[in-house]
Amino acid sequence: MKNVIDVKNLNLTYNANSQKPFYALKDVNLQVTDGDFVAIMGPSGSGKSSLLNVLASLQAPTNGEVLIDDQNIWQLNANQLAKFRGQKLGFIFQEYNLIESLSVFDNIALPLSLAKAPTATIKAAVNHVATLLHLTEQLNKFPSELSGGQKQRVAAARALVHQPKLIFGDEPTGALDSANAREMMNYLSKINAEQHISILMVTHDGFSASFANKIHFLSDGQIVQTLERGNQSRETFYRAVLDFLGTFEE
Amino acid sequence: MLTKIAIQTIKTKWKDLLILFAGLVISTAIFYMFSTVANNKAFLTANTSIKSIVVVFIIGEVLLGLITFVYLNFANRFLVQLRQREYGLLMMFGANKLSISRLLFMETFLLGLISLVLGSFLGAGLTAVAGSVLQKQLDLTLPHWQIFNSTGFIVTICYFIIVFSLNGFFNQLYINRTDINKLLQANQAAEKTPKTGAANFITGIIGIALLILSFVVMTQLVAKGTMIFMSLILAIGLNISGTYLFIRSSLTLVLNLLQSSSFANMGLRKFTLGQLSFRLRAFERILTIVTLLFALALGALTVGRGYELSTPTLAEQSSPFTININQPSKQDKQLISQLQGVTYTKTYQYKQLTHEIVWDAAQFNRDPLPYYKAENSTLTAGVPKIQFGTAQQINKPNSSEFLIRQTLQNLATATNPNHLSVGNTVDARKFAISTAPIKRVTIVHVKNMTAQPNAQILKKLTAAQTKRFPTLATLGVSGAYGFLVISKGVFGGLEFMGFFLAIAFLVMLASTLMFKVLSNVETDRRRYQILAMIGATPGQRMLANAVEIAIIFIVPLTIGIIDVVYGLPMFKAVMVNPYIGLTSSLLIIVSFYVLYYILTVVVYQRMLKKGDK
Ligand SMILES: Nc1ncnc2c1ncn2[C@@H]1O[C@H](COP(=O)(O)OP(=O)(O)O)[C@@H](O)[C@H]1O
Ligand SMILES: [Mg+2]
Repeated sequence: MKNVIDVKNLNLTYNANSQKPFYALKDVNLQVTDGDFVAIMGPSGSGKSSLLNVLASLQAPTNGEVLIDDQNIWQLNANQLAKFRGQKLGFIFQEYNLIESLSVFDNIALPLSLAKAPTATIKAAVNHVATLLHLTEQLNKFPSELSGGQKQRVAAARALVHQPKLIFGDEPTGALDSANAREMMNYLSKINAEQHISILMVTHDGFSASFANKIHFLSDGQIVQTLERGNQSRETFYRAVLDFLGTFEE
Repeated sequence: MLTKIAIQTIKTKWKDLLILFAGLVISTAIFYMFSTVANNKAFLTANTSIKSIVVVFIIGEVLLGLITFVYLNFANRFLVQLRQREYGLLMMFGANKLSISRLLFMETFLLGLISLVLGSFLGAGLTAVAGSVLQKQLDLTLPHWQIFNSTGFIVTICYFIIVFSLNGFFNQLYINRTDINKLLQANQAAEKTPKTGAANFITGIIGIALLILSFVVMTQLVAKGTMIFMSLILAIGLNISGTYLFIRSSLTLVLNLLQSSSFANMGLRKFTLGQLSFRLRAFERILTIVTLLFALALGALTVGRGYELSTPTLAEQSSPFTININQPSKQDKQLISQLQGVTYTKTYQYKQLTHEIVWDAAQFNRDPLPYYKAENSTLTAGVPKIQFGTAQQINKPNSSEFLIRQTLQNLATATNPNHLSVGNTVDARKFAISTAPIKRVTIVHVKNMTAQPNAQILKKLTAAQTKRFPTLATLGVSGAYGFLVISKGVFGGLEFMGFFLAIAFLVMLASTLMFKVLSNVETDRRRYQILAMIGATPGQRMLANAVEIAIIFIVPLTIGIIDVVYGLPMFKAVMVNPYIGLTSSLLIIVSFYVLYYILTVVVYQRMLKKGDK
């Protein structure tokens, strides 16, 4: 199988030139096969967001290689990077990151408008993902008029609307209550299974992580363990994750 | 604990606080500047011929008070927004509401007091600098000019103490009424969703109607002097409310229309339109006062420029020669030879008898006398062509040539204190017979009497003549230059006030607009990061931002220019042609405004980037 993400010897150092450099990522190697659903777990401060930001081309690494869909992203210039993100990537963050001055429809449509898609295509695509995520009633509202769960669904719809290769999620359920979190994770599984979009998600929450096919555990900037779901049911996998976390934290 | 939190706030938010503080100081300084002039009655009455000038300035002060009030109110809300999270935290840790609200009152009041003190100093400095630079530049010395006026100062102090106390009480009330949770979510919900629907459509139409009505009142009532103060106040009221509704609703209609058209679907257009329709709601009050300030600045400059430009023209129209030198001395001749752009220099001889002045006819035939043809031209027609007439024409002028006698009459004023009751005879024989001593008069015409070195030389020549012939001290040296000096005495005050107020209004405008626009950086930073994530290139983001700010700048510019175009006829009572200074003033103010826009965008984008990784 082809890899959609291929990370080799990735290092990230904050304040590299100062008295106290901080090694946030140390020699990380990571592969995600095309169409996979992978979670990265770790306690707060372990470097999850840093890793995601580097992979998502939002932050430059100190050294190492990041190949996304066979493209070495850190060889691209700023404009090429922006285009690359616009075509291949989708993002869902903990804080929803919706644009308050745009309606739900326009928020979802934004990646397509940026790609200069024709109006008819935009309408069809937005309606398609809105149906998928049960947002058809909400399209004319503004983000401030939505609940947290709805906002995150809008963010998911926006991440999905341009049929990216890969969706990155940073604690996508972090601001949601458990019912909404479960719903969100179901949607993500569905997107992964039905639209064949790979997902890489970081979270500190075992329940959310148990929806993935594979979980890497991050500690102090290094991947220390990997669990695979295989043929287990999600519930069994969740229990395995909890068991592991028990030993991991001791 | 309290001081610790206060210091922490200053540390983390010093940039915001600095913008806030600078804004407060500048608004105080401008209010001081205006009050100093507006309350200097001796200055106003001594330097203008307009009886109602004092009342006009009182209306102006009320208007500036309103503008400043809106601005201070906005600044106050900005302060509360900066501080309320800390207050929420304090309350969560158990501080009681009463002490917190007292603290906020004290903070508001103290901030106001410090800006009042600093602003007054800055105001006095600005008044002094602008006053002396302008007087020098316009070549004026205005009696009763002050950089400190006790009434003006008291008005300034009272005004700001009242407004800051009101703000303090308002803040106290706000803290008392708002629960901790709301306080903690300080940065959310600062923007309102744009209005749509029938109500908005109606207010949009009303806004346009009020604006048009204000123009009708300006041009039909105020300009014609009908119940001048009542109609002036009416015009101002209609204009302010019209501008407000226009920005609030009429523009939203346009934006809604654009947003639903296919024009909006490309790239970041929809984002920009969305930003604007949110912004216009949040900006409605500030943009209204910015529009007023723009119109006031442009209007004041146009009037000032109008006087500056029209007085030389009026002066040229008054006489076909620039200056008239009687019995020129060696030094006078030396000075005359240094004049630049000389059209002609002529010297005539005359003899002064008891009851008449006798001129040699032959010299006018050799070197004809300049005059203007009497046409039924108005003063606006510009400077007529200079004609030259011989002795024949002087003695028997036809109906269009009679002004030639006036030129002759003006020639010998200096040596002849009773010149008005004395006849002028042009006769070669009489001149030859008379035994009176020969006197000489030189007249010069230069193309530009206000440019250097001419202005300087003419001033020296005038001084020398006046010294030698004391009657001229009251009569004035005849010629266009003498007329110019007298007109400056009459109109110089208004000219000066125009320029002075234009500077004050522009500074206030700059501070208001920059402050408001920059107060959005925090909200916008996140949005632009999201855009970057979604795939907008740095160029696209910068452009979207520049366009958004441009449109916010264009709104007051457009309404302000229209205001001035329709408002200028109100000055018909005190100016021949109020529009004469419009083009150059527009050029000056619009270039200033464009530069200012560029500066704002640069600062804005720098601040946006600061937060990026
Ligand atoms: N810009 C930065 N400068 C310095 N240190 C940082 C910066 N961003 C994050 N860190 C540090 O790097 C570590 C990893 O942070 P992060 O990736 O956000 O962890 P996580 O998302 O797992 O909580 C933390 O200790 C954090 O303090
Ligand atoms: Mg994180």
